[in-house]
Amino acid sequence: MSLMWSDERVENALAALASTLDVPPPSRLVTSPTSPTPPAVRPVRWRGGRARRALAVAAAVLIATTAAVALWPEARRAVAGWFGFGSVVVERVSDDVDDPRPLGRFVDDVTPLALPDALTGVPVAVERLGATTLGPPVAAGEPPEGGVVVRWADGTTLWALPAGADRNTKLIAPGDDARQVEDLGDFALSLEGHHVLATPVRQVIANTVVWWLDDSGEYRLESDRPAAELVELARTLAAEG
Amino acid sequence: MRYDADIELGDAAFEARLGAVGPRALRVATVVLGTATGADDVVQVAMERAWRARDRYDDDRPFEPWFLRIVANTARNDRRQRGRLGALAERSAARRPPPASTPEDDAVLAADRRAVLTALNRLDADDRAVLALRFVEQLSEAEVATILDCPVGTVKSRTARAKVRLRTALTASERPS
Repeated sequence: MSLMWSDERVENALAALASTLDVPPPSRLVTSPTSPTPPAVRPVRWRGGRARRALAVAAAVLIATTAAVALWPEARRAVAGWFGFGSVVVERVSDDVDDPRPLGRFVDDVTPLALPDALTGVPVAVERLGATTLGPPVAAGEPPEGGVVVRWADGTTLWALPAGADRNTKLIAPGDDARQVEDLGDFALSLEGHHVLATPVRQVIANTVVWWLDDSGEYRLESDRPAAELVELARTLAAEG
Repeated sequence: MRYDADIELGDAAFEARLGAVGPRALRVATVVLGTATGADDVVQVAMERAWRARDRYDDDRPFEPWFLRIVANTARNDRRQRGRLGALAERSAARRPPPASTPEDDAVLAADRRAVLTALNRLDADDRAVLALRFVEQLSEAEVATILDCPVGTVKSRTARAKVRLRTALTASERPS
């Protein structure tokens, strides 16, 4: 029976699928989805870029801001600047932002997972997770935003975001230190000190963070360690091979 | 030579290239995921990554394999994280282009398409990807090698093995139960 399926017949049928395969319509795609990548300067420039793309990103930020304010109605913040990449939009806010300290922490609502199983869901090689000065992770869980979080003994956490993660907004005060990080993934930034992370489902108080993207996914490393030290940890985790 | 977005190719041209490859990228993402569900999200993420990496794109290299490699990697990661929720399917008749062949020929081809699609759904993602890139998208072995980040010889052997498994699945589906 299999002889009936000649190479030519199989290949013709496969070729015909190009016009009949059910795929989402291309009209949903946005071909200029992010702001221009900031040039390799430090610190990150606020409101840089070309006007047309700035408008597109402004629309995205407006949505993120609206969502964040809706979820955090008492915020009396004025957005003084912003930039974004991946699932994250970083907003620089004025000094009159409400004190975020009553907010919970990112790990508060995480559902615990068995560590060995959870590590297979993190697209970072298991040996790299144990290769930093932190030693091997001691716990893991799934946050309400999806993806997997692993935690080390000192409280440092790594969140491997789900692909296509919804927009997350980090709110920082004007004096806070947000910098682009070079030599880490495709694009990375660090935020030194406490700030608010507004996800589509909650707002939390966050410590120093390094956030990066590469071919394997999007990652958020949080710790009370200095940003420079956190960057080195991230580079070890993101190392090739 | 490094690609310099400001000098060699403007953002508008980069956008145009992304737009042109969009339909093909959606098919590749759909086949690697094994379902149309979420394929547009995967391609959107890949477009964002390509946009961020555009200043590192080497303009001497073909654009399409470079971008489809990002799409395939993104789809593989997404499938690992979310699992597979659905199956490959054909569009409804109303959304299909009119057949170019006679009604009789089209009926035969339609039956073959359905059989091959059912068999594809039984293959793993790696087999689906190499078959889709070579025969659905009609890309050369060299282009597929770029996208899958492997030597051309590996593409040849993977293609041959995937075709054997596809035929096995086709034969199994024809066998009376």
